Amino acid sequence: MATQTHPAITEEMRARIGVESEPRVSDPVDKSLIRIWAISLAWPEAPDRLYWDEEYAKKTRYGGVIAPPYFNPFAYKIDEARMDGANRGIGDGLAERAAAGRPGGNGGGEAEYFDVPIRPGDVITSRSKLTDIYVREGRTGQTLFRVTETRWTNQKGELVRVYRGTGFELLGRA
Amino acid sequence: MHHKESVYFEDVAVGQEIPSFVRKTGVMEFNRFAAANEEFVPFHMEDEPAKPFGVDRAFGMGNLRFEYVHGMLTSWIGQDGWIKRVGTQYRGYNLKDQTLTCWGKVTKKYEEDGLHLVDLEIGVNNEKGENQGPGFATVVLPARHAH
Repeated sequence: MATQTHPAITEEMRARIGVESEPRVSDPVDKSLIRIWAISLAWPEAPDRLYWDEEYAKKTRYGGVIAPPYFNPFAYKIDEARMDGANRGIGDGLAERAAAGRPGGNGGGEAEYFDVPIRPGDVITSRSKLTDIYVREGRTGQTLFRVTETRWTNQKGELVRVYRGTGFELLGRA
Repeated sequence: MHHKESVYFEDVAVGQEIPSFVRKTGVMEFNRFAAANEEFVPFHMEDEPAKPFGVDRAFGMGNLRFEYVHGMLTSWIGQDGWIKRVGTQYRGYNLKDQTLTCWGKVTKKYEEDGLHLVDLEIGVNNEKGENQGPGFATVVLPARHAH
């Protein structure tokens, strides 16, 4: 049974539901980062040429190299570097979790796409908001869930991706 | 890993299983994805930091599991189709040195707003057959005869 009233859910946390974060803007997407992503996806097979071979990609309906759909253009953004290694690209609430000092992670997600792939040189703007927060009894005791919605648009204002992610924190036995 | 020839809407049947996507979840796979996504989290790298989660060794990124599901879908649909929606719940930990098999089964095909859509039930099974990533997807496919 999920509940929104629990000591672990503070007034401050509840007040953030529905409030959009400051937009984050990526650096122009680098072709090499797309290639590295494509290799990690395909490994140990060779990556699809669509993700790295311009001559090949030109002849496809995309007319050039594109990034794989789940590519994260916010990795390695120096001015926001988090030296604890937690990634902030996907919007799954990891930053808040780290602050609370509890074990937790990424509980799942849902992505919606619009046939607008990310391409080299694109500048992606991310707007994120907390949409739900609740506690549920899980296999290892009580678990706090945070649902966030993150919308990415490109430099033309086209919607690229909407991601709804569920982050979790283990609260322990009641 | 290459996009195969296009799959056309007309050639898809409800109940059909799509080609699976199988990956080992070893240190090589974790590290390559960590490097791509800047996801250098201690419990994905070493065994000790994973223990507070009740497991005995490092486990993989949920994002990597989700990325493999994307890989399965794009490998199947080819370059003329695209993923419209995909969702996966992460159940349990995908421990180091397991094998994940992403699978998908067509549940519905229909036309909406001029698009030819196919819904799928998807999952990510470990080598014991436990589904660690139940989910769904909707893909858009080209049609041989656009209406």
